[in-house]
Amino acid sequence: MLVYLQLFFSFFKIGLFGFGGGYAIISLIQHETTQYGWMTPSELTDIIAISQMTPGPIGINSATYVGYTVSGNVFGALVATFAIMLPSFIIMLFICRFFAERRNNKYLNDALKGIRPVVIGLIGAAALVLMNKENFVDYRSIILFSVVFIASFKLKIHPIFLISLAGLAGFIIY
Amino acid sequence: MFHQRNTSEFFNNQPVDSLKKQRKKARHQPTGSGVTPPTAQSKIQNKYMKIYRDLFTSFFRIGLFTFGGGYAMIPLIEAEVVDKKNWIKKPEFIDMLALAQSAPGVMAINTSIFVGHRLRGLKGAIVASLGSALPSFVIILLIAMFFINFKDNPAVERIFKGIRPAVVALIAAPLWRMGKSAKITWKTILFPIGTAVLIWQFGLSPIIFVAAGILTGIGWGAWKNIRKMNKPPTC
Repeated sequence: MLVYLQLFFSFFKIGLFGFGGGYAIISLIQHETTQYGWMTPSELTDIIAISQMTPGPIGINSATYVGYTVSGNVFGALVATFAIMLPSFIIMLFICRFFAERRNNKYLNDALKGIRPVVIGLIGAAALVLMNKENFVDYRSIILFSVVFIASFKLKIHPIFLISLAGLAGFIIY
Repeated sequence: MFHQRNTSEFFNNQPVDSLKKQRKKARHQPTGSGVTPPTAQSKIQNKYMKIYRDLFTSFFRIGLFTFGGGYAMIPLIEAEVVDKKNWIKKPEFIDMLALAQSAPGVMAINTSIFVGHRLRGLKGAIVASLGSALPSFVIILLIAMFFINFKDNPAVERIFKGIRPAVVALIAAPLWRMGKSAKITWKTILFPIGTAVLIWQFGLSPIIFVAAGILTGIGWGAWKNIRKMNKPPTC
């Protein structure tokens, strides 16, 4: 029973403070899941990879995955997924009621301006946390990292294609 | 006349089954001019239910066919909601998107809640968001159930050894562009770097930084406002 409560509150928090979309949510998920020992960083990396290759947002995917693996049943997955969606409901309905007419609310805009640099910091933290010994086993990992980084940053090649290539490369070189 | 019979039967708690039969009959009857169709009431009900079904299937399709989440979903949602179904006009959709992006939580869910709420209130929001979450829920559940068996397979392990550094690269790659579009300068770059290092090295909760960002933003706005008010008039 305690596990379900922990799952609910963890993913409720992630939904409530998860500003800035997919990658920024990763550092929140990482913080919550390592706190309870639910996932290792390399497991989280695997889930991000799976999220990129399958349809659907990273937040929902990781909630479902963690909910299932932690509790061992579908109900846990339901609890976690419901919990990450619930704050969206509350906030969206609140915005619809009160802010729809005043779209250029000053406080809202100021708050968003303050969050923007934080979101970049959160994504940076996610990248730094995942740059660990489990994910980077040897020099070949560093080469793969550099190639994919340049291919994505400079050449803007699609992530799914890059992940597939990296998987193939891993299968061949290891 | 038909209409009268229909309503009276409706109030007499008629079983659902006979309603269906009536509808079948009605389909075979020619709709003459000046005669109200017998299934007027149920037709309205059908139309009402159809929007829920449409909302669900539209967002189910969106959830099923968008890979990579978030931003990849926008064009598909727009095509479905604005162009195909005409549920929302384009300018309103763009406003909606801006709000859904700036609100916390999963963006695709936020957008589906908005569209559903716009069409049918809370019920519509629930139906639309369930539709968009269901495909990834089912797919990930299946993967979670079977991935555990495959995890220690040497071939799978080799593939994931290659994938892991690639994923980290994909997370790090958009940082520069994001920093530019957020108008981060060499002076303000300390804030994101400080945030990243504190979370990474000291395991501080990201929530603290989000809350601090909100407060700083509002405080800074208020401070600028006060300065503006205290300025002597220029003319």
